[in-house]
Amino acid sequence: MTAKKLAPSALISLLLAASLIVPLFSTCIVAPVSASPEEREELSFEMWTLDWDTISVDAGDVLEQMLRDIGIRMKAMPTSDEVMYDNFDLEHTYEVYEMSHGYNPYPSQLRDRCHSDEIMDYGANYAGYSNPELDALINEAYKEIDFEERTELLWDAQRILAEDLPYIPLFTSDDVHAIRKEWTGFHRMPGGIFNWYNRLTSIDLRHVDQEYGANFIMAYPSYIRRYNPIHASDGRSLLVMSMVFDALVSYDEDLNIIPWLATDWDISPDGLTITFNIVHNANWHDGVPLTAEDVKFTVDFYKEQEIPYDVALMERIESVETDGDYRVIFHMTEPYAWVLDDIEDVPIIPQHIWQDKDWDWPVHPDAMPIGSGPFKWDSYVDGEWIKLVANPDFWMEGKPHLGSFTIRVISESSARFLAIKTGEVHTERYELDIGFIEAAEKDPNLVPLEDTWCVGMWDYVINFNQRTDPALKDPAVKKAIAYAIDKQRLVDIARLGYGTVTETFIPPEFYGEAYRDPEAITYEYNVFLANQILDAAGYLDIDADGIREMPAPAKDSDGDGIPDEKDACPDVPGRPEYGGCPGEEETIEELSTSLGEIRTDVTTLKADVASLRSQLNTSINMSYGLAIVAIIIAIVAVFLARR
Amino acid sequence: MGFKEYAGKRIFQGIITIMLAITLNFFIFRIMPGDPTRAVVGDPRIKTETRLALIKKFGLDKPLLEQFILYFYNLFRGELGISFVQMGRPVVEIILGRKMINTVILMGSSMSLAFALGIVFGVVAAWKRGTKTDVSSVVLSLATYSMPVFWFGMLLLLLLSYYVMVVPIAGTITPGLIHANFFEYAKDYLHHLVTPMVTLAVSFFGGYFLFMRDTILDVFTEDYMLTARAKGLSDRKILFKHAMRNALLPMVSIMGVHVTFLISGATMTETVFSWDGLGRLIYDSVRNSDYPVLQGIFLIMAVLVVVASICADITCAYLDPRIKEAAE
Repeated sequence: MTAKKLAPSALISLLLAASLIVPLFSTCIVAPVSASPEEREELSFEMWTLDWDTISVDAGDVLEQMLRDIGIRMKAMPTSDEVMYDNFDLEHTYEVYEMSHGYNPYPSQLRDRCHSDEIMDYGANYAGYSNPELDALINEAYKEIDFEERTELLWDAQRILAEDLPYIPLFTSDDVHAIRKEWTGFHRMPGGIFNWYNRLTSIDLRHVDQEYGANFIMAYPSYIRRYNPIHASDGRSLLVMSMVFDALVSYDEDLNIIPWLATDWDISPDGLTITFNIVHNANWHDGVPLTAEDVKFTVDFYKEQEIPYDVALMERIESVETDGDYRVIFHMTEPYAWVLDDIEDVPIIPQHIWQDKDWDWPVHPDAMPIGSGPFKWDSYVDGEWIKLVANPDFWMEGKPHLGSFTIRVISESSARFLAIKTGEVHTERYELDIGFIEAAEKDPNLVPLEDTWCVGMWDYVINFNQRTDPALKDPAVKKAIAYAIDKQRLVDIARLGYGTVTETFIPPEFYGEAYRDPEAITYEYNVFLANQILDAAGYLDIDADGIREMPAPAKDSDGDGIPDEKDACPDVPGRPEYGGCPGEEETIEELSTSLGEIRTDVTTLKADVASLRSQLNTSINMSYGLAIVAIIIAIVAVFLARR
Repeated sequence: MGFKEYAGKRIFQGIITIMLAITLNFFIFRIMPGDPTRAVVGDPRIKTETRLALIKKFGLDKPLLEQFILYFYNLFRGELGISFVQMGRPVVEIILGRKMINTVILMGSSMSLAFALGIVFGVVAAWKRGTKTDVSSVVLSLATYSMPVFWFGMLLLLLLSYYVMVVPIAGTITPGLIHANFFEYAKDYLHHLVTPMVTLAVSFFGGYFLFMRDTILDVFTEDYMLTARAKGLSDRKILFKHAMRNALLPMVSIMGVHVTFLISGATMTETVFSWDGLGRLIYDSVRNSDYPVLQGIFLIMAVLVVVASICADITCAYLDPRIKEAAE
């Protein structure tokens, strides 16, 4: 009954609300039309950094500041790896990210990150960068077995990348270890003293006062994942497996291939036949002799069971045959540049144990994983520790020096560091946490950090998605960004100086001087030049808010209704090939003259834009105000009507 | 409704709850972001072919509904699946082994210690209400109650394992040591147990203490306390025979709720002291997206909670006829 009484007042309120809403829509429709010609998108991007990785997050924050100097807003956003990788694998909608990728001991990153074959779901070319010329060079390099010619092909490939810049290499986070100073004999190698491909450390590490038989203890942040050498793929399991199992070849301190189970080898000139001679005195840990049959069995096992690891190698091996007990011959389908590097990754497994097994069978630690390596499985408590003891029958004379190698799980990083300081453990698996670097530098009981310093395998890059924003496809923008980054400062802040600046895509600091390209294109820190490049390319700050805007859109001069590349080029002082438009090379002087002209243009433009913006802002603000009032009145009206 | 019907109804409810828990448990992990194949490989530089092979192997390419039916079917055969991270090991074996024993021992001992201390101090503080003893113990318990447990744990670690070096820094036993007999083993184990147990006991103590103190203060206002006093009983007798006994009942039900901690463990404490229990397993599994293990732990926890509460309800109903009547 009250509802009836109040209904008229409710109706009036509703009408009032409606009358307020109508002008709101009218401004919405009108405003953009009048404002659109001068409304251009800003050079503003979201840059993902990896939230749990302090190096990535710190470097991201510094990068954001650096790029502000050239009028680019690069908003650093710490993001979880689940979200990031889901996007890289399937959605491909990110704009920019900055984090580490990780090097293999041979330069596989050009193919993995930049070859167009990797543009697919779960592919490693996250940026979606594609360049047929680069693809051809990489394909050729992968088939070139001559080192020098291959290196030259890779130089060419890197020069293309340096022009297109799908990503910019920043620095490697280097490996400095806290090791108690009574230990010596370890080998420094790019990637770290303790790394799965650093087999030399495991055989030569020893106590200062005790040449043989000392017991070494290493702290792990968590327990190993696998006891199966084929299925081991995380750094923790791989280190254990590399001590228990052997490969045909290994690496020296400069990442050159050295003999291991194979004493020598011969690659035919066409690269299709590789003959390995293997050591005569190698035995499996259960006493059975290791012969060429085991090597052949291992490769056949990989091929027959279609094991999803080392596929690139296995699909290029046609067959393997043995010649006597100690010679094995690989027949290849095509020459493969990294054949030895990939063979280094294949653990040789005993035929008499694996012949009736699936490749991923859960090797039970109670039954002891049987390998041929310098250390044998001894004992373990699941989740807590693993003890390996020296293999007294190891085929290499006088190796290993240690008596035992114990791995102990200490979950918390400060507890690990304390354990090293008290001597309960002698080192830890991974590099020193940034928070403990200062304390470690001062500790007289540790090996001086400089003596453990290795160029790290974790390479930090800033990567630009080629699919999302046209500005990120424009080499001019990316070159300007490259010039605006002070890489050494990133290292100093994010890694307290323990990092190596990387200028090229295959940095010689990691891969060796042989990879140094004398004509490499590099970008030395130069904010002035960066700003000039952006000015010349038409990215100007037209609304004077400190952030540059996209260049003026192309004019539709041929009258087909679509402003596109077929039309005459935009009225922007020419930079070569802007937006598909030919331009002329300009010298720096010419650039600065044209810069002056732009500045005058910009001032007049700014005034226009400012008045337009204020008009727009007023109308927008008014609309919002009206909308809120309308909603409130509507709510009151509904409320009254229901009473 | 008789006792049997009540029990039957309660058990039926319990089964429904467990079914719901299983369903939720299954879908929660499918909604979460993150690619499980990356967890299997454990290396972000995973090759495409490796990933596709693993997706097929684990049946992750099948439709969600089919995966769910398979999951249910396997559950009834007692299979919780295979860990992604510790490749090839059944989840049941990982959960119901050493880790569970370690957690039960750690949580059991620290909770009992905190419980006992909480009761004693609670009674004394209530008795001496308003005195310095009372005020200082309330302040102390509030401080320990609000202290972050991992922070206190790290301080204790720094003090006892680094500066004084009386207890080991991590683990449950000395690595690589072959113990001569069980007593040697037990001694080593207890030596490792000291710091995490004390840390947890301190963190639990505040809650128990405050609760006990309040309950006793409540009991003091009851009529039968006045009667006891009027009868001329000694203070000691009033406090321990009358007040404490009655105050213990709510304490016991609190303890009952906390029983689930026995299984879930204390993630923070176990991580700080590298105690190899279920709490740290949860932490590691979350970090490595080891869904099968997480599903297994959550399932066992859910079942345990449901079963424990059914047992408690039925026992209470048996003992206290009022509950049965209320159900009718």
